[in-house]
Amino acid sequence: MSNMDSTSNNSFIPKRGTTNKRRSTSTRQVYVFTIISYSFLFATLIASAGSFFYKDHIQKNETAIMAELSKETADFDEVGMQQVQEFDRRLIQASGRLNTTVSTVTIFEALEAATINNVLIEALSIERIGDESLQVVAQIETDSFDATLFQRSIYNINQTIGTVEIKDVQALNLDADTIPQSDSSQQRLPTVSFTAEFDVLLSDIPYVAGFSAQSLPLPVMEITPQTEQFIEDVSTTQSAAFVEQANNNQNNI
Amino acid sequence: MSAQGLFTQLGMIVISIAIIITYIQPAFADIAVMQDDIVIYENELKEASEVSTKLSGFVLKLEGVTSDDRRRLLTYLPNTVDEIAVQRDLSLIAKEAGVLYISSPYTGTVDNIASEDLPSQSTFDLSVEGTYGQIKNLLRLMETNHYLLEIVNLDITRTEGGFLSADFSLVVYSYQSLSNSN
Repeated sequence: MSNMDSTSNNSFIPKRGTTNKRRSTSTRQVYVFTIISYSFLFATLIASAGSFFYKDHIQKNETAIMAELSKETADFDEVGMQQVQEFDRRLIQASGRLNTTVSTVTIFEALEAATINNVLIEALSIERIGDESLQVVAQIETDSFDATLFQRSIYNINQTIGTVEIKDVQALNLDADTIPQSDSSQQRLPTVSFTAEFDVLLSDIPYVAGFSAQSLPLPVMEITPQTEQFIEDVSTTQSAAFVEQANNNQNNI
Repeated sequence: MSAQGLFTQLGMIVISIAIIITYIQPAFADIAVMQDDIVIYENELKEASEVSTKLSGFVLKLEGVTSDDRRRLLTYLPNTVDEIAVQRDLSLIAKEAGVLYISSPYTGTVDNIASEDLPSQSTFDLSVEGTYGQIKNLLRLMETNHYLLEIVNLDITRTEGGFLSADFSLVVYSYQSLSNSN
């Protein structure tokens, strides 16, 4: 053991003393303001770069969408639009008139149905009041006030001819209570004349297409090619059949 | 902190503020404006696309209308009223109905400026004579005409021999185009 101690003490390696030397540390101070200022500067620079690139990106987007919009505008089918508008307008105008089309024949048929036998219509006028109603004025003669009253009641219950107003009632020759034969004398008949005014709503007498006999085309020649064709031409046979059918219907009524 | 370092840091802050004021803030404002514009353009583009799509559909529908239907529509509401053709038609209708055609003078055309939905009106005065049945037949024939013969006024009076005299005021309609109304 003593031999070993002597060997180690003879080493050429310098021995370190057992005393602990205190290591000197240099402290560097970092201030909060420094951190803030650096952070602020770098944040500003980063924001500048970011806003630059983002603005560039947005500008490109805007340019692209503007170009797309310009292309869409340029590609817009103006001719087609005009054609569609014109066609739509024509349809609106046509349907507007079609919806207010009335059947005047219906008024005649209603009057036929509502007029009693001893009443004579001397004159009749029909006036269209806008697209709302028709004003029908009939000059009527009959042989007594009773017939007048009865006629008024019949008109009042008729649903087609609407409201009726009896005006200008005049009595002539009411003392003649005998009705002469048609060609036996010149004696005047007892007469009560009056004016009947009817207000007929257009909606009460709409024209309804589809009456088979009447739906035949009218016998009208073709017009010149430079203008629109009004009515188709039709053979004379069809026209004759049409008239015959119409007359039959009239007789039935 | 040394005085030099402090001034440097203050300079950095000042430079930062200057950058914010002179570049970043205007850039953000520009970006906001551009974004708003983009939204507007996108909406416009969307609407334009929708209109184009709808228009394409309408054009297809329009092209799908048969020539026969177009001709019928053009017949019902022609671009112009040929007054001579109408008078000829009226005389032929009167002949077909069996009434005695007297006259049907053309009295003029009025454009409906007040409303876009109303067509132009051409007026004719038709005078005929005949029996009650014939006049009724005439009315029936006029109702079934391929273009509208609208009766605005009708006066029927008795004449000698049991016949009736009928005076019509008729309106024939023609299409009032956009260019006409404008």
